[in-house]
Amino acid sequence: MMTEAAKLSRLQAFLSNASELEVVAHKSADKPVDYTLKFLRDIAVPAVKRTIVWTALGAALAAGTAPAQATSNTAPVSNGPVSQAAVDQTRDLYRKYVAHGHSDHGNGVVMVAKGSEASPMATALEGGCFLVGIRSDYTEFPALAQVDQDLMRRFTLIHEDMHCRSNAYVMATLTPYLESNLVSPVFSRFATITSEASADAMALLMTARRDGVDEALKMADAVEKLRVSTPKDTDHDTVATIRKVRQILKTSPQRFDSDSTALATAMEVGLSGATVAIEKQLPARDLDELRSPRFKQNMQWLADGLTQAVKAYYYGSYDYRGARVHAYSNGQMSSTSVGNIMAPETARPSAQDASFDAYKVRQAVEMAQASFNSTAAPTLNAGENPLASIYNALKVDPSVGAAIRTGDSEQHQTTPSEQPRPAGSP
Amino acid sequence: MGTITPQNIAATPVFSSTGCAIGINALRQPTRFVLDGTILRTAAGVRLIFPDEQSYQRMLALFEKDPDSVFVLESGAAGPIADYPVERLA
Repeated sequence: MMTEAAKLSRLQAFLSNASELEVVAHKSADKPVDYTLKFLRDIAVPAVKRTIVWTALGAALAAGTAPAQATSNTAPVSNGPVSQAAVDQTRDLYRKYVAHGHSDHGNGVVMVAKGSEASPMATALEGGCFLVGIRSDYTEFPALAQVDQDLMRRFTLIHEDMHCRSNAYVMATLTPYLESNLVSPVFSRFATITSEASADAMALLMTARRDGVDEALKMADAVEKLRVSTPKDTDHDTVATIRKVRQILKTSPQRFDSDSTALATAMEVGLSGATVAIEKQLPARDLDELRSPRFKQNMQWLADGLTQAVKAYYYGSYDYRGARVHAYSNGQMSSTSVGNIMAPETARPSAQDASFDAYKVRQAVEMAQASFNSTAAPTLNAGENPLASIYNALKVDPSVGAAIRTGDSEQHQTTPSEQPRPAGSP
Repeated sequence: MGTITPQNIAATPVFSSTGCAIGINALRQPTRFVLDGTILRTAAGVRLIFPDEQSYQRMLALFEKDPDSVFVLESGAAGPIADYPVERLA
């Protein structure tokens, strides 16, 4: 989730100096809704080990300079150099699988060497959307070590790039509303799952286009196995999507007969697969939210964001073929060459080349909403704690550097402080 | 430590090696936060209640050492909303 972080200077300073966080939480009965915990789980804790470092990188990329002292106060990024061979390999993979279409923002890849704690991720920063934490192999991550590394290299690049191609635009559309209660927490979950599902789908479909359906089916098997093996990772609950894509690979070649068609299909299937995942994940008491006016409004914003993504693919100012691959090691970046080349007008596709359009994207969003509307009214299960997964995530994942203990010395009542602010409040 | 009542706010402290973010849920409107003696409250007098005495004392110790290392973080469903300094009441 992106935020207007510029306004939160104390928080930024706090996170940039933190390598480990300790949370002292109220018992859930005392504070049943704790947005601090939600924020820590979704944003802050991953940011401590990832985004803060990359914020410095992004600024440097945008400015065209190496990031002086970029890591001096942050978690270690890399213990060794990235070999030129690794950079070349990534560049070749990027050119083969990712360099198609256009973008409204600059793009780039930042590689790290063994020893870095940075996970692969896409991050939208001033100056562009970057695939960071890219490496020549992912064997340092236990879950990813089991997957064929040649496959992982391809998959990671295409998957993370899809976040830049679609979710970055959705988040830009939502940003004006994030400081209000106009964005439903249930929608936030749905948008997150949709983003991950579309990214998985795009990786499979582009692999089919470049390497053939058999290779894509092998990737589908591997990724499904990976997703099934990490059930607590609810953001990446993409099994339903992978199964839908597998069916498309076998029976509907017209749905990936061009790069832009593959992109459209990935968006559509991601939306469809996420509807299955969200209904499975949500506690019964939250299912009604899927049919609320607020959620429907949020879905309109989702459609607006994806519409922008479609336009950018055809008419964006930046040409994906110009993206650079950088190596980052011990606070230094390998190159000061930055950003993409601007797309010449002649490189833009003509109207008849447009194999998907905003109308189709809106149709896909409306179909997702329609599937929620047709769901029978849920039964409320008394005693379900919608925050259980958050508590569990904080407790069971020591790698994120957060410790949590629950105060039990006093009997507290619930705070009433969560109230909607009037529109326009700072 | 006090008991959370409708007049109080449940605060979730988050400690790093150098400071403390005091997490609260979204407010009706922005406000100021003050340390009145050893009582952390809003300018209007609403107390912030920690989960336990130990974490409260830890926050106070950090504040004594460096007031700027302690701040209040307001968050809503979509993430952080604002952060506020804690002012020592003269």
